[in-house]
Amino acid sequence: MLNLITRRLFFALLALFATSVIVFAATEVLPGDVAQAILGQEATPELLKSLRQELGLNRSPVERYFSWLGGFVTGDLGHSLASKADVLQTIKPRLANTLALAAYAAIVAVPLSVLLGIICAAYPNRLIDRIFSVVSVFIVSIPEFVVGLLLVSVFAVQLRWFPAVVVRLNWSEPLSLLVQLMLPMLTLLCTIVAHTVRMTRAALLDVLSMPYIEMALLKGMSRWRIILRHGLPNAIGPIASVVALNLGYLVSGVALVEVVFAYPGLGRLMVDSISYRDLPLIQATAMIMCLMFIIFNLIADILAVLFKPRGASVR
Amino acid sequence: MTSSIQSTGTHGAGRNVPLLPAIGLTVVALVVLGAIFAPLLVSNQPADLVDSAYAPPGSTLLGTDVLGRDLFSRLLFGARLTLLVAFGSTTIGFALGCLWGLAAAELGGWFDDLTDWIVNIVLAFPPLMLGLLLVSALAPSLAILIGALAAIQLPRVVRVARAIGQNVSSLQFVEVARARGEGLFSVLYREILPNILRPLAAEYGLRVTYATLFISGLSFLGLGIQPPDADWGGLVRENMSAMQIGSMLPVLAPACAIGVFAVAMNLVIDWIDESTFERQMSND
Amino acid sequence: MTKPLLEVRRLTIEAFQPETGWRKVVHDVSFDVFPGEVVALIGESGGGKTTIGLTALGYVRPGMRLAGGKVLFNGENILSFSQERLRLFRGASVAYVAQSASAALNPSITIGNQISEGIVQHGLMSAADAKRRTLELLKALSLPDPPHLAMRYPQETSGGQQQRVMTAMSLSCGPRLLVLDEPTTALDVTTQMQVLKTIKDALKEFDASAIYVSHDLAVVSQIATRILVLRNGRIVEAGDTFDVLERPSHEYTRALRAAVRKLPHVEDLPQQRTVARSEPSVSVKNVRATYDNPSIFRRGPAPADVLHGVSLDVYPGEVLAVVGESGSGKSTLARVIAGLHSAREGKVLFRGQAVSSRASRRSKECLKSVQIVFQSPEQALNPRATVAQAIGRPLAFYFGMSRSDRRRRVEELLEMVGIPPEYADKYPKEMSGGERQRVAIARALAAEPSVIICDEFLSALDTIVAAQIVDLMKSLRDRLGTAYIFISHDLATVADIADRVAVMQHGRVVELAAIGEVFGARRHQYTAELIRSVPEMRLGWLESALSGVAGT
Repeated sequence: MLNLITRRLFFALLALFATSVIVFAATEVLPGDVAQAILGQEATPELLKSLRQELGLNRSPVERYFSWLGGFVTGDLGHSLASKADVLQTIKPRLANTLALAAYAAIVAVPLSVLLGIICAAYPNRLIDRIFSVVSVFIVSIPEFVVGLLLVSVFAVQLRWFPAVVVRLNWSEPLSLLVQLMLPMLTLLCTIVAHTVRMTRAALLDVLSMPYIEMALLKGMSRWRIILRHGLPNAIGPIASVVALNLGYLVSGVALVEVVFAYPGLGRLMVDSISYRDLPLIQATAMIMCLMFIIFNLIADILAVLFKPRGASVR
Repeated sequence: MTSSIQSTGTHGAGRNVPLLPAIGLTVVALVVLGAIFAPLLVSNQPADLVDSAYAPPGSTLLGTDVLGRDLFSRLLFGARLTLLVAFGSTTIGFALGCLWGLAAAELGGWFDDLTDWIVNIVLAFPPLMLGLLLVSALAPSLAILIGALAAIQLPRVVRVARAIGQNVSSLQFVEVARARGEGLFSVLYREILPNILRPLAAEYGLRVTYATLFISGLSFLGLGIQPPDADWGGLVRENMSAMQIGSMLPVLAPACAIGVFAVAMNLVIDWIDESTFERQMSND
Repeated sequence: MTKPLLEVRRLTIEAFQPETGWRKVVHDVSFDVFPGEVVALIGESGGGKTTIGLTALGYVRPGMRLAGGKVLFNGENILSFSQERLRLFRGASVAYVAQSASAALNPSITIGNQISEGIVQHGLMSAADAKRRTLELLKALSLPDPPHLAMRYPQETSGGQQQRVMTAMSLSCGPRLLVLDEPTTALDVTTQMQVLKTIKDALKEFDASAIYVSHDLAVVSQIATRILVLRNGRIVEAGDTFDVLERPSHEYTRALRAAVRKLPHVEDLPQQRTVARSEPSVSVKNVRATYDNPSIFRRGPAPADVLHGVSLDVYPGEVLAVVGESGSGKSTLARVIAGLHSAREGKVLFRGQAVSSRASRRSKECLKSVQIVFQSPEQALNPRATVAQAIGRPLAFYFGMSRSDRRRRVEELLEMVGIPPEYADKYPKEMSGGERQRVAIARALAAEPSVIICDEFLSALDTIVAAQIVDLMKSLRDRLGTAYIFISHDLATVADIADRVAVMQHGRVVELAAIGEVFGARRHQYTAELIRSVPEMRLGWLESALSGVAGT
């Protein structure tokens, strides 16, 4: 088992390395002439020359990659091209905001969706299950920015219960912060609850179709004892791993939701820096979001391994 | 009396009327037809200014957009772009991914191991991030968007095709064909493919839906289809300012178009996926 | 006269099938179980045996429903019990032992907790007392070191132990009746005998009656006091074990009885090979094979070999049987010969010529000379191809036959294996398991091979059907002179068809000799054990066979 976990760790490190190559290549190699790409139509020979100097573009890509990677590892993320501000300092508060929203959504979503999943699996094809399965198809299909806009149009524009945009987080008053973040949180909630419930239900139903469940029934165990004691422990692995994957989504896929609510998070920072062609910021935000995604993926994999029934064959 | 006999059985007698998939199929067909025949269905060109900005429905079916262009016309032409990217990228990514994944499942050995490695590493990259990086690196033209989306879909298709292929390739009739000396393509084409059409079809639908949402999201961020053209996501972006004057239609119409199409696709997929290969085999 | 413990009256059950809707699978079945009895339900698979057995626990599987009848336990109809009453009844009054213990034991609960759980949940004892009782039960079922075993998980024990654990679990609440669903079928022959004996003793010790569901007349004859023969969901014969075995009245029972193969007398078997010794059609030289070859992508210790230097020859026209228990490597050997699995070391030779270890690199001439037929009738044929397409493919592939020639030849081949030619346009799902295996044989014959590898291809078939196919294989061999590599765990069938036998254990050939020698006096100790474990259809065989084991 330990062997398997080291294997996963190794893969995560490898993925991280690959990520850095992809991020670097996508920002500094793919566009061809980087300086031209950044300046676009404003390019004059002088400006191009000074930008090339600033970015060190006269060196070979491999050389630049390793010095960039070295800087990244030591915490030197460079300076923003647009504002000249230190990238690390720019990113820190944005990261905190993104994590705050993700944590808020996760704390509500995870218990709720696991519970709903168990209930749906306990009464398969009964009314509650059918209602949820139809509802979840709808929620899963609608992109999160559309969900966000719908919520805004109802709760912010029509009812005026919650603010439509979150420009600055009100850290000093936690309670009003919860209200402030309500709409972005609900938007994220919709996307991950539907997915997690479906997967929890499927994982548990899969286990509940095993012969040992029939055996437990024929031993005279009650319905809930069968589900909670005989079924759930064998489904924990897949459920935990789905939850971790969704948390990974919460920190890496939120750009759209952040843009809808003008939320000062990492995702919006990246989108903005892409439109301004602010290379160091793009690289840093992309790397940090990938890092978090990879960590949650790793947690998902490790949970799946750890919760495999003891001694059951693992590959 | 039967009710006293309790079971925790998982599969009931199956869903009854496939009403929902029928609705889904109809909606998908209407959207596709609407996109194809868009030029015949609209009275105003999508780029023409026909009225004041955000004019309510009346002279035009859905009113006008931020610049006073016919919203209905833009919606239909937007469908063309959205569907072109979605179906185009999925078809490319799907064809390559299936071939790769199935070949890996059938050949096994180092090729399979290598595939597993590559797929695992690429899937560790958040897809939205990959899309953003690719379009930020290369100017977002239609061809590049299609190519980038195909590349993002590819590893997922490889993984699924490999898993589906593995289920079948260990079955005994496939072994018999292999022992007969049949080549890779003959085994894939004759023995494996006919038995996995259903799950593959479901996967294709899933990927088209995913691509639709993805391109809509990119365009919504302003990084997909570029103005003056607009797909559905781009239309939502263009008309966001309508919400400030309390007019929801210009935003909700394209937003709902995305949602309705995706819901319809998922209803169809759910129905296709219901009888998977495994069940087919065990019912034999 | 004593009152019956269980009375089943006019029981009718329907099953749902997507094509046909609700269809009766159990018709109007009535029988009694008296205290102290072991009633066997015997019949072919799909005959409704398990379905009937489960109604004794008030349970009908999902996809089936009760269509009529009563099941009385101590005079009360359990089918009208409330849910809660039923829950308290199950496990406490009637308990179930499932066919596959490895699947029916929960992998995430310790053995001890799985057994004591029932006692506590039925409110019979405190947790501490239940634990003590659990250890007693494990001891009673002759399991080693109960305190240690109770703390382990099911998958950490052997198949035979798992089956005993499940029997202990079923006895935990002191039920009056056990429903035993083929409890020894999934086990190896040598283990089967011992588990059967343990169950028999436990039933006596705990004073429980039983319904014993089985397809194996020989096994049933060792444990049952009464036998009910089922066919297509109806009872066709019922009577005391001795009467049913010795004086079967129904034709189906007689067929079942005749299909039980007895080990032959040694003197009836050929002592020397009758086939002329010529150049072998297929030879295997010192083959070693392993699964999961490590590569640069998959590190870790090199997995152990499944085959440790196996060598054997197959001569033209002979039947070489390869016998051994599961895990002995016999199927891997078949795969190596067929070119489906690469040997790590050693060679495979066809007519003296070394051939590639992979089928795709062999010449057509050499591919066509060896064909393989597998175990499972469900997987034997591509569900999307008609019979004509399945058999036609080798004809086109090896001989390049035209469509009309193929059709003619397909019909000839079908006739050869006893299938009407109009089956050519059928799909596999329209045929029975036996018919599908016949088609698979025809497909192999289409290549006009000199050797056919039969990998356990009878094990999933009902005894009567299997017996018919053995007869077919014999007549084909006589007609066509094809050699067979007959891989099987069933010694009685092997004795009927084979010229020579290779006995495999732990990846080695421990004995390779003419059939008469193997079944005669000179034999390897393991062979002797295998032979002794073949159930015989006579009362008292179990005890005498086991005393034989004790003697060695």
